[in-house]
Amino acid sequence: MASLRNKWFLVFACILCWAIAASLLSCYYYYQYMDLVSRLEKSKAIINLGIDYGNGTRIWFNGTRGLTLYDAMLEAGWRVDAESYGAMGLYVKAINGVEQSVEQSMYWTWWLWTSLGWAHGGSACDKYVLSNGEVILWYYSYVDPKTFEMKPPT
Amino acid sequence: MDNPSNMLNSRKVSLIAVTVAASLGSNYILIGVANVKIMDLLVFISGFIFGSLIGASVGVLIWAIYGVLNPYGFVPQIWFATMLSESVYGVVGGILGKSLSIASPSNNKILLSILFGAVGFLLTFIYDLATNIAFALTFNVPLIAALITGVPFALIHQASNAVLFGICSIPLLTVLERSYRGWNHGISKE
Repeated sequence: MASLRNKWFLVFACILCWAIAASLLSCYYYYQYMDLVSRLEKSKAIINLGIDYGNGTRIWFNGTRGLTLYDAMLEAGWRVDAESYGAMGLYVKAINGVEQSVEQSMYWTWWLWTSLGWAHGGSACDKYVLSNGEVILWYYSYVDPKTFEMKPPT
Repeated sequence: MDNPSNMLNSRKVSLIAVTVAASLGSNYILIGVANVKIMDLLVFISGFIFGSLIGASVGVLIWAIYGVLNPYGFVPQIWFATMLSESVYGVVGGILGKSLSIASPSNNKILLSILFGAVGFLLTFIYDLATNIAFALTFNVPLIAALITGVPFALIHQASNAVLFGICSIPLLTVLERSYRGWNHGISKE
């Protein structure tokens, strides 16, 4: 068979097989990815997200969507400067250009509105999975450097 | 005295029947292993040795039985599609068999194995594509969704056939061609 003598034919056949397999796998994973994104999009929570700069300026972004609090912050268009601590999550150092100040002991913390008032968020913002209707406020405030006590938003 | 050509035909028919029986038996044995079957290889080899027409007939015949007596159920449209698609292995086997000699010392066995592996992969791709289209049309499933969700099964089928065709074709063809040519007493393929 002439084609067998021509090794390029075999190379072409093998490359064709590889191209088909690779294309099928790419299509499959792309489809799975798009399907997952679409399902996640539907499961995003709608919350009321606020930011308090500690100078009397408080802005609300009602109806913000997100899977996690960090998602919602990005969805609201905030510029977030955060550092990753691996499994512990993100530590937020600055929002919209307002940076934390170690010297003045001013830090960003987030608070969840409950029936008892504002409750301090217990986890990193990217680890907190939102539920529909929650009211969350990012608050720039003084934290006692010795006891780490902080006052809730008013 | 028996007519030699009748003897030859009866032996040919018996070899075809044995091939069909072996395919069916292996299909039922491997029923729990999704998409790994030696049927395709046997159909291809039937075509390679006996020619495209008989190869295609073997493919149709196997599915005529396996498609009806199938534990996964019987759907006429799918059955028809698989019968036609399976015959492609036999047709291509016949075309290759006309131009390729396993016994020829000029043919490198490793290159032949690679060629058979690639042929197995490509034929299985065509088979899976055709049967997935038939499935989509039969059950009113969107074509793209049917093709994409079938990818893992198709890839297992294609990979297993590439390996089976690559490894088993030459030994099987060598044995069968030797037997068949022995019966033929030197008579070439019809």
